[in-house]
Amino acid sequence: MAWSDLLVRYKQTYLGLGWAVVQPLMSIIIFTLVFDRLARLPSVGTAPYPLVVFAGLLPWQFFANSLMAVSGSLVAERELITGVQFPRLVLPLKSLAVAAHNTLVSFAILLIGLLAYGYLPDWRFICFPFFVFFAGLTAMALGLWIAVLNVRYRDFQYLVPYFLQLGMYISPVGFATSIVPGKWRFLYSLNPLVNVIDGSRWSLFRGSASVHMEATFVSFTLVLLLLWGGIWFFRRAEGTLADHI
Amino acid sequence: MQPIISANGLSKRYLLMRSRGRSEWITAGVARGAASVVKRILMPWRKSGPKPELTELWSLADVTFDVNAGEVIGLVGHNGAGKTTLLRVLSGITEPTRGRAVIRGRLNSLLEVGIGFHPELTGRENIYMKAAIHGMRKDLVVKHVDEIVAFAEVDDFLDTPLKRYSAGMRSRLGLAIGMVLEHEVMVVDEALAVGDARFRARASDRIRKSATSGMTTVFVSHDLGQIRDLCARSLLMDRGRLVADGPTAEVLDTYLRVSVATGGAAERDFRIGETRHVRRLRMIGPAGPSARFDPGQPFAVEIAVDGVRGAVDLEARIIIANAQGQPLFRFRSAMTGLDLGARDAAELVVRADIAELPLTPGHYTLGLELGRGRGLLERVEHALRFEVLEGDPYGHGEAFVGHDGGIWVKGRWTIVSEGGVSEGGVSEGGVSEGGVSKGGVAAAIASVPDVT
Repeated sequence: MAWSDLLVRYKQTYLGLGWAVVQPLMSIIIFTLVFDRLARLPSVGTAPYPLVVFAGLLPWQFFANSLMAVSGSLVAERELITGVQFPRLVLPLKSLAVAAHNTLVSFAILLIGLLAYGYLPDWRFICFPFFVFFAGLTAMALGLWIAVLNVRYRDFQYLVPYFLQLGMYISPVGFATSIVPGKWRFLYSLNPLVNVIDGSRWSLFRGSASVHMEATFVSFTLVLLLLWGGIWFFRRAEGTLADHI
Repeated sequence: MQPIISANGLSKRYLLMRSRGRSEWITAGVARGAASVVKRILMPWRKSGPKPELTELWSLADVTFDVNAGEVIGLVGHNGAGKTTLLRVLSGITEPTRGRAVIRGRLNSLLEVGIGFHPELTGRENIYMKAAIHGMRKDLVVKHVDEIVAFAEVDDFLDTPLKRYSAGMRSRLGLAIGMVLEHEVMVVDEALAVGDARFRARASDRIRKSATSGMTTVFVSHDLGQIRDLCARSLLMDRGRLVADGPTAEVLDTYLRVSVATGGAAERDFRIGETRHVRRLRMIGPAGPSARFDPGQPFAVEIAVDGVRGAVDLEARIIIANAQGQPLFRFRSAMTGLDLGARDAAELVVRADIAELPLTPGHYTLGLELGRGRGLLERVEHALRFEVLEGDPYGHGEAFVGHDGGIWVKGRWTIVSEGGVSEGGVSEGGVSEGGVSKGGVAAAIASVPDVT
């Protein structure tokens, strides 16, 4: 199903897969202009600012796209839910898989960017996929709850975009976490996306971004608990989804 | 042998909520306190005690039955009787509120044929996708693609995006995929009514054939002819209850007797929403509106319709069916030369007159169709029930006899010759005037082919 979703996505478009390239590039340009050129915020170590933005944007977009898709995954397949019996968990997983595919495209562009700037990562690079994966896990943890609630209260489908817009600015997507004052750092890092982005930069830029270890541990544990609860919540609602959708 | 489907006390309750404004929701939430709000969010599907604004609707009420492997079961009942809910519960799409359904085998549900299709994908891609949704491995489907394509008759369009398919092709493909996939139990909701007569016949054949190899089918159809044709046993549902379970002929008889809820009424008014155009239907005998008629006497039907202003090629048809729901004949306005089309009035009352009612004593139903050209605007099946009394249309004191069937035709009998039959010739007696025949010519037509 994920395969067919991808197949469908770019049918009847002229640029095709090109859209997966254009979208992140536009965001990178805007963020670089605003935060680097206008606001003159510090970079991470010696890394070029566009790469810093990209390193934040990639996991963020994975998170945002996944959350949007997972939240709407049940309502979008209303027909299927009322017509066929199958494990409903397939639907959010499919949404996650589609978002992951787009992230792979972004990842390829990131590699090209790293090469173009001649800024090659060291061994820490192997940790990068882990942090990105965690962005997806966070999206899934929240998304499962919202997907089920969305069936009953469609309000959520309007709330999620606002939440994501806000989240994009309170997470260090366009800037480095180092501008957050030290005493607020722990509190700030309770947002799992802060740690995901810091971790991505840490692994890409030879450890020059700092990761708040305690906060990372706490927030990642919270995410896992939320995910576990989400699966439990999803499964108990599964049997009667067709009645309410 | 264990039954392949065991339904035990299946009940399904729906809560109908009065529409509430947003502010009311919030006030209600605050009033109930934070604890109950949390409870509401955690368990939105649990009912926390009776609330005045909820009305209960038991869409299924204590339904119990068993089905053995290889049976083909017809499920009949009026709209809203719970047929679709029953199929959904059997399919596992939704859980019953009470009771349990056990299916001992793989189940394939064809509740809406178009489900799982994507318009941008080709026919072939859609076959794989739909099969995947039904839990079928791709390598198993590959073997069946040719069979599916042949069955749906979409050979030339296999690699064309589905959006270029006609509606008929799309539903044929959907049904074909469902029918060819391997499974032990199939539940079908109205889906067998897709396609043209030829396709329907093929689908029926397929079901009959699969039944001999042990496949079980439960299907809903408003085409009683199809049910009679395919099912030895039928279930009748009424307002969530299973009211009859037995041989199809008996169940259909009960269905038409009990559920055509107009016993003895000469006319029926239709609420807006119940029907789209038909507002009233009335039967008229020689002495005015009636639900009892004598064979051979005048019979008329008046139909009031609305919302047909300017409709071209409009045509009204009445359909008389016997007590088993089998249509006997249909009487079309266009055939008599009346053009109902392109009238300026929104409301129209039309009348069909049959000079001599050609039915033998028994119970019948009157149905109605509004057609537009060859298409169908509306169909009201078995809308009224009426009785034809014992009668003697020829006036010779002879009654109809049991096996006279549903229809009698007017004619006459004569004696062509009397005496010994000579070598192949007409003997000398000549033609004797028998007049209108004694005993009445009740042509025993045991079964008239479906006119639908």
